[in-house]
Amino acid sequence: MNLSHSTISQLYHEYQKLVFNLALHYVQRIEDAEEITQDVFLAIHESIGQFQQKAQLSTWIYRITINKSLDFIKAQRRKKRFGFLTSLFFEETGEERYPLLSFDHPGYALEQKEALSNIFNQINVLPDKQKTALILMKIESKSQVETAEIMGVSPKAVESLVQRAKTNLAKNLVHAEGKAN
Amino acid sequence: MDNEFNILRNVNQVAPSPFLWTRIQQKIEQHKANRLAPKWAFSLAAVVLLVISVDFVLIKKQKAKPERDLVESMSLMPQNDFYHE
Repeated sequence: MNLSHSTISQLYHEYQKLVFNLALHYVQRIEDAEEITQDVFLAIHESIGQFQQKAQLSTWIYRITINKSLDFIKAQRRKKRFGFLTSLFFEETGEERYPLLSFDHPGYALEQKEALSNIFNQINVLPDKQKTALILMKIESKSQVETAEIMGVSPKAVESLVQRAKTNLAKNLVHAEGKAN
Repeated sequence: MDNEFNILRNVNQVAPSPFLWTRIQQKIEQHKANRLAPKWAFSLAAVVLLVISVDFVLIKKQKAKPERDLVESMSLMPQNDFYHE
C-alpha cells in the first residue's frame, strides 16, 4: 500500500528530525545521513501496509531508520573492500576511491569535537546491537523499556548490551590512548 | 567512562537540509516510474507460462513416438516378412 502525497508529507514534517538525527548518530556525516533519510521515507511510503497498529508509529520509524543506517554502513564497508581489491589489480583506473568515514556531526559544540570524535570512533567499531543500544539510551535518551521495544528484545537484554558496550568502549579507549602516547 | 557518556548527552538535534523533502519526493516519483505495472507483470508471467507449457507438450509428444520416427527415418521395415510388396 502506498501513502498519499499529503500523508507522506505530514509524516516527513513530523519525523524528519528524528530520522535524520538518528542516522547522523550512526554515520556522523551530513550527506550520508541525508541519503539514509531519503531511503527511510521511501521505505515508509512503500511499506506502510506492513505497519501494525499494535506498535507505535515512532517505534516503527525508529526500526526502519536503524536498519537502513546499519545497511548503509555495511554497504560502505563492502564498497571499501571492493575498492581495495580493484586498486590492487587496476591501480591506474582513476576510479573514485571511497574515503574513510570522516567525522562531520553538526550537533556538537566545537570545543567538544575531539572528545566526541574519539568516542564516536570507538562506538563505530562496536557490534551492531551494542551500538544501537548505546545510541538509543545514551544519545537519544530513551528508557531501557523504550529501547527494548524499538530493538525487539527484552529490557534485560538491553541492560546486558549496554554493559558490554561500556566494557568494550573502555577497553578500546584505553587501547586508543595507549597508541596515541 | 560515565564522563565520556555525558558528552554524548550534549549532542544537539539538528535539522536536515530544507531541500531534502524535494529530493525525497523525486525519489518516490522515480521509484513509482521504475516499477512495473501489475497488468504488465501479469501479462509477462502469462506469456512465460504459455511458452513453457507449449514446450512441455511438444517434448512430451516427441517422446511418445521415438521408435516410429526412427523406423521411418531409416526406412526400416517393422515386419518380419521376407518380401515387401
